[in-house]
Amino acid sequence: MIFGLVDIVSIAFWATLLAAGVRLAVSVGMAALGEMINERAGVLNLGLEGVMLIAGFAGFAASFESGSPWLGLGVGFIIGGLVGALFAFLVVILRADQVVTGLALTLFGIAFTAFLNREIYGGGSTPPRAPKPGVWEIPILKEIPIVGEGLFSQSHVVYLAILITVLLIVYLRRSYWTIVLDAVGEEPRAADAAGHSVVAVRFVATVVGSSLAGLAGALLIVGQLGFFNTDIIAGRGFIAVAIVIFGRWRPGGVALGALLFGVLDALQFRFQTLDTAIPFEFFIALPFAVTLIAVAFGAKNAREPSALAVPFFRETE
Amino acid sequence: MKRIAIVLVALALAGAACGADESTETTVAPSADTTAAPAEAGIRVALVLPGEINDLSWNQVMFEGAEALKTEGLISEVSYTELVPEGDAERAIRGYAEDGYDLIVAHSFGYGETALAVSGDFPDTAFAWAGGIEGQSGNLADYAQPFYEAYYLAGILAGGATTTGVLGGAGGFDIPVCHSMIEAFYLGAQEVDPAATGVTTYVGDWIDVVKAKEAAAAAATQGADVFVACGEGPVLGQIELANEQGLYATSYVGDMTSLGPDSVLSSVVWNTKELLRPMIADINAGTFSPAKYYSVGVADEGLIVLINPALEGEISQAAMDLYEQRLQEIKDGTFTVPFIME
Repeated sequence: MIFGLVDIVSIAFWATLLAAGVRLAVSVGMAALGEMINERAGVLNLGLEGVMLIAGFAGFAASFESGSPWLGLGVGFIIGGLVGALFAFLVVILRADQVVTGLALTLFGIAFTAFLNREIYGGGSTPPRAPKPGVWEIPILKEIPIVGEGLFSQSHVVYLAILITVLLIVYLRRSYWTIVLDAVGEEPRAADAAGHSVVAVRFVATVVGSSLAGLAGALLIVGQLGFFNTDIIAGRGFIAVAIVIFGRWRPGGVALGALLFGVLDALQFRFQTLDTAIPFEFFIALPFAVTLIAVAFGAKNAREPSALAVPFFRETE
Repeated sequence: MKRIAIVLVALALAGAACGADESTETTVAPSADTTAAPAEAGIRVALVLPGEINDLSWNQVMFEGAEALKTEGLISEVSYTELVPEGDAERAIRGYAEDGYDLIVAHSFGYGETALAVSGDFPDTAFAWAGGIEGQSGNLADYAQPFYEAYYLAGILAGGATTTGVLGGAGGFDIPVCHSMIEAFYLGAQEVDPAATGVTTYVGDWIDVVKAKEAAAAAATQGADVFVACGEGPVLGQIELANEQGLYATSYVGDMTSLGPDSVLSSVVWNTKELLRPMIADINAGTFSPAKYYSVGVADEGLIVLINPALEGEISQAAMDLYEQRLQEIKDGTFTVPFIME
């Protein structure tokens, strides 16, 4: 027997698995939703990691100085939008190459936040700690087997993330602005002919998407850790870009993709703790492998926005 | 269209892979700092570091070791560059060589090839590299990281504090330094509690604290109540979890008591002062080259175990007695901690 079957079939195993999966999905999922909005308008933002770091650090500073993690989350959201405005200025208005500009923003974010953290808080592994939001255990619901602990006995930030996700799913399905957003990302010339400013829509979409990415950084740093450390986002900005493809540019799919990725990560840690003969590298690669396979096979039917990463030139087109 | 999707996934995986390497991810512009002292008999030492000098761990202990020898007068000047990515190591290492430093310490496994190349161009300068693989050559010394010796002792203490008999070990990846220290920790605990077992997870990342905390949580659901970690992310994640759930953790090669006054049971400290001392003696005697493999362990106080005074009462007397006994035996050379690679 490869796995300890007793452990696998126990309800506690699955309950803590889902709870851990949700915790691991929160930040990367919110970042992926932000990236999705950027991409549906035709803007590829590979600066996501940088946005998460800069906004997350700002959120941490606000949380630490004020003692309010909620203020920190709000500041993360706003600073994310401001950094997004800078990115949009470069790639939408000046039409800079989106891939190069995005990667530059990420590299800048890693270095800039490490520098600020060192200058303001001393850096290293001994940063000051900010208070974290509390845990909200919903009576009765948290007793539900398997899903209770994962969904109804979590930190406040988890409920915030779920709420925003549900609002986005509902809003993007029905709203007039969704049609405009997709028109700009799919057929910018048609959107332009219909009287919509492609540049303005892309600018706003980039700011909104980056705000969510900023919130994502703050969810991790302010909401889940309460301290900052160099490069603390650890690649989540790039995983979020993959999750957008996995979710086929739809909010429900993106949220599910993030949850699946989180649960797979939580699952592989649990498999590692069981006594198996399988090398640990297999488990570490598991979430990535599943994502890769899903994208490879799903890509046949998935369609990215036609004008993704293509700058808009009104006069010459 | 599909091509772009595949490129993006490749980027995502590359991003994850970058995050996996402790010494390549951070790209802060190197900020050189010099603490000058009036020129005396001591030598001039330069440190090239993958992290920050206040990380309570790998980088801080090297900086503090050099500073301690400056106080003793063996070193006249300590310069350092922090957060040096592997790809940028040449600028730092060559720069110090050109500035005429006597000893240049390349304090990351990943600096090996660069240090070897630069050392060939400066035959009169002493170079030391954190290879740990007996990779010395010419005027480039290699130095071991025999952490497993001290973690055996920390494991004895853990065996005297665990109530479940389950220990949780974690590392960034399964490399020999990490594997041997985690296994030695379990062996030490089993000397006190023969039924004790170890649950090991590899996080797949050296810096991701959130993931490491979930790895520790997974071990905790298997009953782990004393942790040991190899790497910055893994140890910070474990201490976070230990603080939240009232469990015990062990530091990673520096004094981390401040991160968990009620959870860090013991700290293993890499006392690099005793590692640098023989190198400097060789430089002064003109015998540095051909360079040696410097292995300075518990017996020579190259590694020290600090017991958190606030938690000493939580460790059984039998474990404390055994700890003292084994420590003495290691120093006397009558006990050898097994080095386990598999």
